[in-house]
Amino acid sequence: MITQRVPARKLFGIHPALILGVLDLIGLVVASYLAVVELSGGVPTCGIIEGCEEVARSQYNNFAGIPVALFGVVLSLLLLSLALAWWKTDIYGLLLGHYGLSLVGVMFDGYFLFLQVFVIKAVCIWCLTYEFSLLLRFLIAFVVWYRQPRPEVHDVDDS
Amino acid sequence: MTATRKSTAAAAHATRRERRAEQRTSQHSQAHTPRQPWWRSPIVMITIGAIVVGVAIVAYALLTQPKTSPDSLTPPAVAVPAGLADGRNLGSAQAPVTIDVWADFQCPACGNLARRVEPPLISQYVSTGMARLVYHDAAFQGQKAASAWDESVEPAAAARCASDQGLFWQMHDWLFANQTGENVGSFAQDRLRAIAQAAGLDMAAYDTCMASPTYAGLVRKETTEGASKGVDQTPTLYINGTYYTGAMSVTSIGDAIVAAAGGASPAPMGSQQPVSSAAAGASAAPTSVP
Repeated sequence: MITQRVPARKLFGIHPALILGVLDLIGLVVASYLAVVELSGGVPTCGIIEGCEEVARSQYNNFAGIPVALFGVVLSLLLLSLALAWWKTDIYGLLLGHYGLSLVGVMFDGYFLFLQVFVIKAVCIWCLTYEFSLLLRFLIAFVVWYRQPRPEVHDVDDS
Repeated sequence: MTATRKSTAAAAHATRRERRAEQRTSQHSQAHTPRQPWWRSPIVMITIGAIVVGVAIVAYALLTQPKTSPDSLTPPAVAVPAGLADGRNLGSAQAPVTIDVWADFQCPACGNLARRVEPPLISQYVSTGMARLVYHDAAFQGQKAASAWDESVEPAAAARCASDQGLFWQMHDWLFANQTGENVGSFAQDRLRAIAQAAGLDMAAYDTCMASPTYAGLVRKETTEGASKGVDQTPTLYINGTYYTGAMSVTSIGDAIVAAAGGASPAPMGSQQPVSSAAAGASAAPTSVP
């Protein structure tokens, strides 16, 4: 069932995978910037909004000894691959994969946002941008799934 | 005309009848097709799977984060002997033997040396005036993480800030008592601050001191100087300027101290009680400079 090809219903006149792809690309750029800065030993530039330094230097910026931003890069790359593959093939399961993976990301981002607000007591605008884009990707994937025609269920008894 | 109308009506009637029959067949077919239970729908299964994975990741993150409150820290087993500390030196300036200790607050072997070997050495040789310990930074472990907050340089800088308050050795002991691994948040900013607080530092002075890059710069400078002198692993000891190659045990280092002092025996034990037996040794392997 999930391997079936189901033509996507357009969203704002375009294939919804392209909207998801653009958001994935934005997330990838933000996460890559944070990862490069982190791995080079620097701190992200926040401009007039302060807090990036506090978040970057906190112990919560690492997960299992790896910078959190690096996980963001990997997640965005996976999501982008799924979106592009769905756009090219219309395979129903790829949309569900995008939805499920973005839900995992949203849950971790919820936890990280909680840490920023209540534990670190500083908010990094780059992290917020990434978190917002991920939430948007999850919601769009859900709405697209809701509007999408379901694949036909073939039952052996029907024949 | 009438006949045509009748035949058309008959055709329409037949079509309606056919449609109804088709509809009935379809409804019958749908009614008899086994419907998938809602929980076996792909979207439900993926949602549940994603929630399970998400909860597992967050739980892992919560369980692996080091605790940062002063209450959750481990106090050092032995108190620093009173009246012996002078900045990063411990012991009399007139002591015949000087032990230069090059260490990284993150290195496990340095932790073993500080927790298990140094206390008996201090009792037997430093408190009695035979030897003096001098601490040097070889803070390179943090470079592996390439993080904005270097967990080797920052605690070393914090120890220098403590030195300004006359509490270097207290901070030294608290840091080594609270190692939890390399580059895993043991000495992240908030936990390091909690350690400083537990060690008894004036926190306003500590915050001002840590906000300045001066000490972090000096730590890096000393680390580079050490490497140029041949400090290629931590801990590294120099006893009266001679590179110490023996085991990191009380007995071996004690013998080297006695030899450097010209064979004089150490005076009886001082007031400080060792945390472990006199044969205690640093079991962790020394850490090499990458």
